[in-house]
Amino acid sequence: MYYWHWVKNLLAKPLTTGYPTEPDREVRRFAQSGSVARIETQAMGRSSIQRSCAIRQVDAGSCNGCESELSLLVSPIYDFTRYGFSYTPVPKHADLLVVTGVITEPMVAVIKQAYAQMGTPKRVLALGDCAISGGWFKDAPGVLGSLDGVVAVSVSVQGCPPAPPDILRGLLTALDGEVPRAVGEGDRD
Amino acid sequence: MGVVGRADEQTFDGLTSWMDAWAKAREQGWETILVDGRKDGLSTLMFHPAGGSHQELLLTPSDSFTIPLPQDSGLGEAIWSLSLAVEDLPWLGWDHPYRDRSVLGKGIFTYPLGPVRGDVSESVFYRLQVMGDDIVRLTVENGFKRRHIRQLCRGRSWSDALALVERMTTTSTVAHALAFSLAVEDAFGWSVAPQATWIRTLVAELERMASHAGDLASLAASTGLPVPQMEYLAVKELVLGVNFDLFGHRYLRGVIVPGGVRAPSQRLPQSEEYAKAQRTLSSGFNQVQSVRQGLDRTPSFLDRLHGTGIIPAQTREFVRPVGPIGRSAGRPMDGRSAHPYLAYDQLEFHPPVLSEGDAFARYVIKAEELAQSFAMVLEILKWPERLSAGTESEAMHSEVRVSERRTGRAWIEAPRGLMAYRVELAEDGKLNHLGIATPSQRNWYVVAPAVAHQNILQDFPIIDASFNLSVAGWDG
Repeated sequence: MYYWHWVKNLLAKPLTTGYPTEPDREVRRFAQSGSVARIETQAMGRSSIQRSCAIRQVDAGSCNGCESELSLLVSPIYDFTRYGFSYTPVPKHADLLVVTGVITEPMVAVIKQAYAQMGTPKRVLALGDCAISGGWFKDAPGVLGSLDGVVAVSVSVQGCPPAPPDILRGLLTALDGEVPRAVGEGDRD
Repeated sequence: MGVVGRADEQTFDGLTSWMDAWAKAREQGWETILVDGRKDGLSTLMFHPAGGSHQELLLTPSDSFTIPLPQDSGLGEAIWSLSLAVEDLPWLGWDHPYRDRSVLGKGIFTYPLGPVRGDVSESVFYRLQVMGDDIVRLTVENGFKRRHIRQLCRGRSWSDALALVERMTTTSTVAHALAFSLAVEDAFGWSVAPQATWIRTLVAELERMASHAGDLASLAASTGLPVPQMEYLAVKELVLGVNFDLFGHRYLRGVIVPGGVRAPSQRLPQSEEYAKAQRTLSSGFNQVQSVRQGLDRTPSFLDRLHGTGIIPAQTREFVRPVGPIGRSAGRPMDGRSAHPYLAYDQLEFHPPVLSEGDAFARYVIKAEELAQSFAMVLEILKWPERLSAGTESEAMHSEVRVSERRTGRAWIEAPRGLMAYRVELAEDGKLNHLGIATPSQRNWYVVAPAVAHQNILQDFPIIDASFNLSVAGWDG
């Protein structure tokens, strides 16, 4: 029984996509939902983070859509560990802070504290329209609307919710300072 | 058709008589669907599974102040709804309706956990009090991420309000859009084309599949089994991909609108697209079955779930949990069969019910419902002519007549359980009031008693994952 799985796995195609560093049209179709919007290089700092990046996610008032997509990054399809990413429960171990959702007042102190606990060099990724501008909820009572004034944002990824391929591109951008380009795809990205 | 239509309304001006009527109806088997603080008072909408009838108990403003809290009299279905109602109806005179208790004593240690916790998780704060390994008490504190959706919707047009309620909980986007649309259709007296009804049934079940697959993935992860976790995540991604191919959004946002359905960024799918989706989902179905067979033969998984996180009988009677959580604890309440809406009366499914109320029962119910939803979707896709509507690309309104009532109510079975909406519309179609009951705002009050019930600290992640409720749907 067990050996049959070996044979089956040898014959089957791997589930994991090469996207975003290799062209993959199947996965690319989701990436239309948004694009890596802006890259604030001044907040990125000089020293680079190499490919072993621990991510701490903070939900500051999301609809759990961004969480749902983030949890799919560990799935065999997107498998972000191939780039050296991993989630960590502890901000002190994190290199990258991913903030999702509108920024509610009770969460401001929490975000600041998590950010302060991270060692340098560190980056901040604002994930989704809510974290960037407040989206549909910017007029809600107790909602700040943008992560920008709370901590220094390195990269923002648009989308509601941003699809996993977009999040992957955003994560790689936060490390490298530039949007990853698929090998052999030229400047088309 | 999913909507309540006419409900017997009884009005009370004293709180005690209102609460007595509520408690009495509850004893007679009525289910509380929605507790809603609105301008003219505080109302409880109830449903009787045997007769299929609805009644609404309305408490009008009064100035009697010797008021016990409903949850102190054993009515625990609407603790969060009542604390929302107090914000709008100060004459109720309750200070914060949910009182927190903690345990003091020698040897009690308190673990604070949250709001930043876990790998990827929503913001909620747990305070675990343990004596050695035993959990003696858990308090769950929410309210870190309130977006005040009910308040924001007031005075907006229904199309704006739809966009807001769809973002209440994205893993239940369809359920929120559907309940809202049914309520608006109930208010205006609109009826919907049969194709739209079938498409709505299809998307509702697709969403249940994605949600349950995600829940099962986190349950597998909590017991330290990455292989089934990855397999369930692959199934979830497969369903989300089908959603995107058919309707242009991975979480089916914008598909259901009052009056019909539409595909926001493309034309509605045709038979060949449905046939392709059916092929993809058939392979997903096989995958789901084989993962489940594997898990059912894995003692390290089953042993961790059996007898873990049992919902105490008193809590079950107090909160009356809904959805898969309720069905795992001996409450056979499923909106799809209790009052058939959409096309559920033409589909074969048997909501599973277990009485144990432990993490294993919740796993079995979710796995079984996932399989049944797959079977239902494959059955729907067998008849693409029932779904396709010629070349139409937009909403499929049928006859539109404007009713006088302008108040609509609807309740449905969301992936996490019973969800109810009550809308009051102004003449120009703007919302005067919106009452929402989400399954999570009710079921969250089961979590703490189930955790602090003969469990040890190491059980906590498993129990947490076996509930997998939405914090966004609780905070609102």
